[in-house]
Amino acid sequence: MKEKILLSYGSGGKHTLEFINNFVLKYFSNEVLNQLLDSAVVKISDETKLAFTVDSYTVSPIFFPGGDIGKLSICGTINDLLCVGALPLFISLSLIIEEGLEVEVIEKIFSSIKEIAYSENIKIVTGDTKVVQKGMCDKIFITTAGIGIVDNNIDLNYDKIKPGDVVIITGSIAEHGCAVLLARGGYGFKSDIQSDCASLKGLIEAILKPEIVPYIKFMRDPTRGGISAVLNEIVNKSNVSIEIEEEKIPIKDNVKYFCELLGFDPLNIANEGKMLIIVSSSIAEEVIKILKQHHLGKDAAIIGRIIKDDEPKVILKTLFGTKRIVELPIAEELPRIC
Amino acid sequence: MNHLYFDLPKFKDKKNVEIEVEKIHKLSKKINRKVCIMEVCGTHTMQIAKYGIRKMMPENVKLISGPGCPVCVTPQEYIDKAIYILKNYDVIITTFGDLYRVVGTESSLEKERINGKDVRIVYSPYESLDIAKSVNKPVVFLSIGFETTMPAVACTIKEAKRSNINNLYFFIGNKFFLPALETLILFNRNFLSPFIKTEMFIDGFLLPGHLSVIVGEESYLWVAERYGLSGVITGFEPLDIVRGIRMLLETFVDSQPRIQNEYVRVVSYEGNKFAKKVISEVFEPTGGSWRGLGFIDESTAKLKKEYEMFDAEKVFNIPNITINLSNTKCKCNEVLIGKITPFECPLFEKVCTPENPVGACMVSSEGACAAYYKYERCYLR
Repeated sequence: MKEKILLSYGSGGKHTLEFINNFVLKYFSNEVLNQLLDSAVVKISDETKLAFTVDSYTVSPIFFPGGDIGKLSICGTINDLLCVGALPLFISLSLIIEEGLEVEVIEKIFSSIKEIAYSENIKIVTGDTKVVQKGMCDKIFITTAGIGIVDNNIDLNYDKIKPGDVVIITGSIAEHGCAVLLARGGYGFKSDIQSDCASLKGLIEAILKPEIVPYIKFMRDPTRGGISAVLNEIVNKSNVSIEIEEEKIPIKDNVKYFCELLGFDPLNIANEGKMLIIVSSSIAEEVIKILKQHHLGKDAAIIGRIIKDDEPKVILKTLFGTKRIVELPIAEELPRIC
Repeated sequence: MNHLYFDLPKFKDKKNVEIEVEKIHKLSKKINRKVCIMEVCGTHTMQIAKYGIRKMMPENVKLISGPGCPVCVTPQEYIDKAIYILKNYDVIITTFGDLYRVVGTESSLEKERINGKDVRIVYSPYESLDIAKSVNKPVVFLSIGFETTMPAVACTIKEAKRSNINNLYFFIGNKFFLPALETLILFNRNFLSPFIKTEMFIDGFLLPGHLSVIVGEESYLWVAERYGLSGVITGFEPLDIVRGIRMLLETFVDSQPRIQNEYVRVVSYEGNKFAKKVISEVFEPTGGSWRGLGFIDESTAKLKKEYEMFDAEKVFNIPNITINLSNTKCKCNEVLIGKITPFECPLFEKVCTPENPVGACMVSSEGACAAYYKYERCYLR
């Protein structure tokens, strides 16, 4: 049988990584792409570097508690630029719309895009519109590219990460994934779980101060595949291990119980308004203090640390002090039978 | 149900767990020999691995995993037959998520869906009923699971009959757990065992919580009476599990084999009478094969005569498929009955992984090999 594309190639887990390695890098390998950061970083002058990112949004349903596909696309692009320490400036907006979609829906999506772009001082500077026949796409797909500038003093990369560094999460996990799953319906129960979909621009700018920047090693927004995927990518690229502590990972009760009911591991579930930050231990408390002052960072916490290890892996210290492995998720989570 | 929800933190509380673990350590000294406790439920297997409970145990208390995952014990022929239906008839297959990625001889439901077949994941068998009502082609529900899932399937079938649905079928792969538990005990007793073994190596069982909600405490009394083995019906939170283990150890100390119920907040002595009744109205037991355990009398469900019109095997012409597993190095048979741990299988992690599973215990998320792989590899070797 000829090999075919699986849904899981887009899940952000192991299959996505294999797809990138086996196909994307096979054809397009170059020194910028090979870094595999959330945004490509290219030097343009002695003072600044350019950050460039692109992302497609196919979320279903397009409206969910806490956001919609428009807000998600802009926030996601801003956050990807922030991951490399960039100041987000311009975004392009490309739409693929299914024939027959109500104009009112587009207006609702555009309003939320406008609102977030205005509040974050980002300009939508170019775009494209395509309409396809009914059934050729699911209501609307959005692709956004983003450009930002990075100060030359900022250099966040996998190779900066060293044993002793600490892992910070800016807030409670797994809310976006759960909210979207719930909005799809079919579970026979309701919940008040809201997506955490948000732009982290204000929050991250607050810690990109000259006295702190040298101590920030790496940032990544744990979207698809959740924090498990990001942490596993870090250990694989940096050749270190990470030990996280279950009791320190912030999670809301409603999310925790929803995951438990369906047999999901919240560590594998997507976030859309959180940043995972790795910093030197000396500055960690200071960073937490700054994050907590911002409304999007009030639950920020140190959840673990980088350790030296011959066999790179992510380790979870359970509530009871025992340790287990946190695996790179293979594909998206499926509910269990019992 | 509300009080259960709000009580949950108590069952995850570190202090509560530590108190029980301390008791376990004290009891283990009194026992003065090595004891083996088998959990026979896949969810226990996952929870023990996930919370690292194995590592909390004293040296002489060994936790081993049994055949309690419905997907693992479903024979490979079942998947092959389901795929046969999908390939040869224009149908919609509905299934629980667990079966979706399980690999048959050549394909899986996931792969067939990519090839354009209509496979839908449902959370309850009842959803198949709604799907059948909304389409003009046959819908086949892949019905697997123990007594835990059988009542919901039975109710769906009764409802389908009541409302004259004539395009919904059930491919029955359901299994009765209790006959398999007895087979397992007999294996261990060396009556049927293909292995050379001189003594019983299982000392007691953590009995499944969900399944016991249906069958009740009374269904296990024979385990102690006939075989002199202890069992504790146990819940799934960390505190439940360590408490269940502590209760088992107490029976080893006083040498009084008995069945106890740790999960009293949901499991009663006689079980759920309505659920038991509806199972017996729709299903009857017949002999059938289990992955790992082989053919077991009275262990497999089939539809009673008055519900035969819903039986996919009667409606679709499915060839007999037999699979020869004798050439494989896979040690699932021994893992499923607790003879070896997954780490002792030569294929574990090297050839057999959750993505490319060779055997039953790696295919399902609740299989022993999958649980050990996911949470414990690098630690127990």
